[in-house]
Amino acid sequence: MATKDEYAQPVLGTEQVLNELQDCSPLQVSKRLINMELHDRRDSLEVMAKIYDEFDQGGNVTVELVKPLLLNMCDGLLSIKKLGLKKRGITATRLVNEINSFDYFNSAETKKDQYLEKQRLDADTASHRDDKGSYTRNKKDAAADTPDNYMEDVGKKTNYTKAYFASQHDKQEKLTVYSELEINGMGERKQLRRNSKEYKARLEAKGLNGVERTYNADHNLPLKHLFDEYKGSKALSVGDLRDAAGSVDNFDIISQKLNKIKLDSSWTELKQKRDTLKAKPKLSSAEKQTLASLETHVNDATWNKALARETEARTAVEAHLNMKVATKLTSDSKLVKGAATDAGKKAKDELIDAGVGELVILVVKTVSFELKDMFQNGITHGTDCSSSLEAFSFRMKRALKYITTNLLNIGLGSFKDAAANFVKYLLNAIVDMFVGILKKALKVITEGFNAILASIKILMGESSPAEKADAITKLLATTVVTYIGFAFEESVLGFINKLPFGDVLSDAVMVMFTGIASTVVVWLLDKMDLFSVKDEKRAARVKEIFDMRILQIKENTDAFETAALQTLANNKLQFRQIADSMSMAIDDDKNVNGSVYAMADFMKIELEIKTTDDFMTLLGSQERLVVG
Amino acid sequence: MFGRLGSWASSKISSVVDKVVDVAKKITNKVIEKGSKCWNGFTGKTTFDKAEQLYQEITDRYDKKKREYDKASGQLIADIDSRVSSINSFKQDIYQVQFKRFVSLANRLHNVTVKGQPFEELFDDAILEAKTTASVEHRENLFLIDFNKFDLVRVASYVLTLGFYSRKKAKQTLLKVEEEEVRIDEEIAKMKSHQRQLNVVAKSIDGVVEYFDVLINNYSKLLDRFEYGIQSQRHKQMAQSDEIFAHKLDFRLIPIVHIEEFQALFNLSIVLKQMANLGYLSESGKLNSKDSSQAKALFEKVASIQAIAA
Repeated sequence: MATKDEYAQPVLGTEQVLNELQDCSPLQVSKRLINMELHDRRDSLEVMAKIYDEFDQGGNVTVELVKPLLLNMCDGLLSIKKLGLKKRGITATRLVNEINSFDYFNSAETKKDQYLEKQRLDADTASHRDDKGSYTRNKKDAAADTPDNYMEDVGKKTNYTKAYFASQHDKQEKLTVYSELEINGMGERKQLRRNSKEYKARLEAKGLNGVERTYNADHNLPLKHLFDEYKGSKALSVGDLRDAAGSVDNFDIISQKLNKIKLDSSWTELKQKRDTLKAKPKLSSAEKQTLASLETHVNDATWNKALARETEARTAVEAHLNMKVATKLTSDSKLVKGAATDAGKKAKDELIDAGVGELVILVVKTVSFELKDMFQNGITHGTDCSSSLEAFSFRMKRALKYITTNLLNIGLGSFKDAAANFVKYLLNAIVDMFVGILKKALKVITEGFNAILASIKILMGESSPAEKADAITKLLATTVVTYIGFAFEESVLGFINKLPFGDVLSDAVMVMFTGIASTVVVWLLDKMDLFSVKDEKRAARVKEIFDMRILQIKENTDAFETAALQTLANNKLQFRQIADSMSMAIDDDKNVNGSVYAMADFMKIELEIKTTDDFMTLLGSQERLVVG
Repeated sequence: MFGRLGSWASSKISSVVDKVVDVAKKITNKVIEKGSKCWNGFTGKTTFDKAEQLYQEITDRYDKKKREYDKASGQLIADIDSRVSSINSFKQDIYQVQFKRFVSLANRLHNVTVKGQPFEELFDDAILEAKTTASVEHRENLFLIDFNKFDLVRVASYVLTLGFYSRKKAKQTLLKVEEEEVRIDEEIAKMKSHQRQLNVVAKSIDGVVEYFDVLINNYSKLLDRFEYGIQSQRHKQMAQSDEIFAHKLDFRLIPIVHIEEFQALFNLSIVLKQMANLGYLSESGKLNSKDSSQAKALFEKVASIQAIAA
């Protein structure tokens, strides 16, 4: 960008104007005044057009897109785990940017590497999964050292059944049971029977299937399913899961037949199973049988009812579990302490890695700045040294001094990051203790932690609202792109792993993929300039330049006016004094020559006859007197 | 009776209905008001309105200032013009009246001629007029979007781009108008500056008029004094000589006072001649200033040295 000087008005000072006016004859002052320029002759439209040109120039695809994309590729290669550079925060993009923007007066800011952060957070999340051993249904099967690790609370089931029958007052009803979920072809609840031997025998005598009509109390979310889904939380014991599984909302009376079909799957899973079987072109005989029994025993009305009940059951179970977690978090100090220790350890490990990385970058960027400067500008450039040797040692000393003074900054910066990381990991650990939808909602906070921190920083900054909006949009876009990249991780990596060297490349590919995607997205956002940041900047520049020019015009005019009026007043005073004394001399019959010479002198007119003697000599020479 | 009751009821009902309608109208208006406010914010019309208002404002401001400036500078230029014509008549007076009188008086003592002619300055407005200033840009050059022209396609485009397109255009428009405002401010600053410059020039020309006026007056008074002296000397020398008409007065015989008067008149004539030969606004007409005569003296000196050397 051009400097402001290019648009500056010429400066006119009072002194300058005074000198210029005092140098000339009072007779010529008017002419001088007219010719003085109080501002340049540039048209304001021309100035405006020039500022516009300045802003239109940017638009170099190589610099804006090709270079960052190439750097993204390099980032990918550098991120191969074996090199160990990635975890230290050393990427090609960062190195190049740091080297290019290096100068001795600024300290560069570290940008978060979205991909690395996400990877670390995922690793953190994985480490929070609790190991509760294998699934055990019955109390008697529980391992000796963990007697409480079983899922079936028989008492609760019995209680539910008892409560169910207790609500049936009619005597007939006590014999007949209605399924809570199944609907028969007539749209009525399916009739079931209490489980008795004589009833079974009676049915069989009629050639009817006893199993089909016998009732069962079923867990909407099966015990195994529940165990698998929620066992990851460190705050919950198997006993807690058992309690939750025994929630009233998780029980429904259904036919034994249906229960046998359903087994350990939830209603949603069962429906998925049916849909996949239906969509499959070729079925094995076993599959055909399963589909057929599903179709006969579960009609659409039953599906609707069952799925709705499952949602209720899930809500109830998760509410129960999350309450439990909340209570434990507040009452069990060991739990939080453990999480904090873990988070602290992770933050510390990262601090060491990051610190080493920062140190490497600090040294590399300082030294390469010196090297680049030496090659580009010559070894003595900017060193005030005469000999090359002297300059070289000056440069090395300067670099060393910079590195030592900035070591502290790195330390501080890394510590700040470590503190933020600690908070992030602790939050993540706590969030991971929760289950279900609540956990997913809370996850947004930890996953977006860096984005949120960065957004707050942007919001607290001193840029204009549009610039803030622009910066946050770009930040969110890159965050989202990174997460989308992770969503496709499996399919992309699955493909890459089939290629030769796929296992080595797989590290690199994801980094390149997300890096390139976010570069392109940010570039597009920049091109679109949704918040007109560029126009805003240009307008600010226009304002700055014109304000400067206007101020100078005013200052010049002030200086001009002051000096000119002062000169005019002076001249007038002088003239009047001389003219008065001349007039008085004429009236009083005195010698006028003194005031005539004064007048000529005042008007800066040269008179050749300086004295009366000269004049007498001239008269005596008999030559013609010429007024010229 | 029922009829009365009925009419009472119907009037009651109709007043209730009126009230309901009234309230409904108010609510609808409120909704429309709030809704349009929302819509205007969404499409950027609010920003556009601001731009329009600002554009109107700066156009008005510029026009007003331009009018004021044109009037004031026109007046100043007319003033300067009249000063220049009075200077021209002073110059004529110097040659036609004052110098004629001086020459005829002086010739009784010594042969005198006056060279040159009065320089008549032709007043040219162009040197005083500012370069034409650039007025406010045309609306079309600044406004990238026009909400005043309703267009269904355009409204659809507002909605489809979530208002981003029109908001951006409106903002760009506002920024452009704001830029135009500072540009116009520069033009106004230039006008003001020029007006002040003209004002100072007019004052300085005033001073020049005074120089002429006062000096001519003194010159004429001195001529009176000189004339009186010459007359009395003529009577004196007449008494001593027979051929008074044939000869000039002998300067060696007249008192030094009159010689000094002659000298003062001669030198003052040179001053007046210089003044009469000068242009005060245009570049034409040069002053034989000290500098140039010094340069001339220097040149002659150098020439004589070269002559000696040769």
